[in-house]
Amino acid sequence: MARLRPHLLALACALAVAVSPALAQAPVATEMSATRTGFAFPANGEVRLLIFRPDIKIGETTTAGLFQTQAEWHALARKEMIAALLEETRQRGFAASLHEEESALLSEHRALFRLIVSAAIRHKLFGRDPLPGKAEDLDWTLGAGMAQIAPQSGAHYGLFLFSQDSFESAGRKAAELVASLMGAGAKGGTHFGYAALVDLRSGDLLWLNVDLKAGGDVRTADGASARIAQLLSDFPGRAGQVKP
Amino acid sequence: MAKARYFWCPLALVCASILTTAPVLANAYREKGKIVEVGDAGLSVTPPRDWNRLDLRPGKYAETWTLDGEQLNDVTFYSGVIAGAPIVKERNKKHEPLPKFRYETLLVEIPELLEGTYRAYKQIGSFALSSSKPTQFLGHDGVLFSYHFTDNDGLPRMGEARAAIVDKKLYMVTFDAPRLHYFDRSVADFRSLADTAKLTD
Repeated sequence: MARLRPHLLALACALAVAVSPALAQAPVATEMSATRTGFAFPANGEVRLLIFRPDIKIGETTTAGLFQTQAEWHALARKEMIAALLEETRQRGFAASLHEEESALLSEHRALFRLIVSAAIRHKLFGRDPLPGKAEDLDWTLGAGMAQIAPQSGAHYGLFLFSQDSFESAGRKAAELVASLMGAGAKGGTHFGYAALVDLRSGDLLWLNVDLKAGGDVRTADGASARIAQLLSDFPGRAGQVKP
Repeated sequence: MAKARYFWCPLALVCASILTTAPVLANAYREKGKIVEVGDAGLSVTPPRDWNRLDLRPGKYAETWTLDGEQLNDVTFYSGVIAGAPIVKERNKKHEPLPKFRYETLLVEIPELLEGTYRAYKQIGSFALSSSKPTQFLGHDGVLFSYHFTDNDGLPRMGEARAAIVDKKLYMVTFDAPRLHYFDRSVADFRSLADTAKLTD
């Protein structure tokens, strides 16, 4: 069932302004990543990676500019992105497994995680809102409570992923075509996401990659693979291993 | 100094703001051991550790400090709020009015003022007072209270505050943080900071 999301509408408006030729005078970095100082995967032995179900928002921008979620697309995107995530991480030499259970504890940690990523984006990654009294390092944590989420998994690391895609409806495309013919800036849909690695014992954020203009149609296997490869492009490697 | 702030904006808007040509914000360094004035109503503190003052302010009488980023461990100072004024800026006086501090407001009603402000400003449905008792703040009779609430992002938070009414003006300092990890980690830093608060002539 489609549902309107006010903050997604606001996002669409903000992005519309962002891509306006009149305002977008200076190039803005759209992909940034950071790794916690001193972090490296162990060189030897099995490294277990717990993949949390991706947080996916996908839908259509209507002619009026409203965002409507699409349940069918969401199911497709979830299926394809989970498959792509497992494939990509296994190719990189990790013993990856999917964490299916969504507990209240995990839900609260997810909410905290979104807040931490928001802080890292604002205050660290893109340099737009720095905190002068905070060290330059990627220094955020979810706390030791993360260890209670899946202790039976034996995994030392957790991987979170967020993806947001807004495709344009036929009416929206037509409206933008008309607008472009009249000299106004036209734009495509909006697509962005992030991936993050967390130490499951300490809760420390170890690595974060944010892409504000992501590619790949995540509703398809090929598109989801492209998106995952993009979001994991700077993922820390294991010693002696080559990225796929 | 900017007068608006991100205040509880979702991650999507943070990302979108990066893509705009908005200016880089100038958050200020609040250095350990150096006395600093907060607002322009005679309130000062001497931070026992380094803090960051956010450039974006929630209102004319308020400013927010943080250690790790907005909403992770926020100390907000409300300095010299006059009668008839809300404690943060009203976004829409007609459709989203905020409760006002009044001449007749009593110390015991300050927690209710904060609750009403949070409910209206953050549009939350869950807010509960955990405790409230008399204290001394800024050398005057005051109130010390604690509370918990869940913001519209679904993240449960805890808070603690001290307030006093001096010369018919409200002075208050609050600490808000997620109950997961961040409240317990930083509440002692908040208390030691609030202990240094003074009013000067």
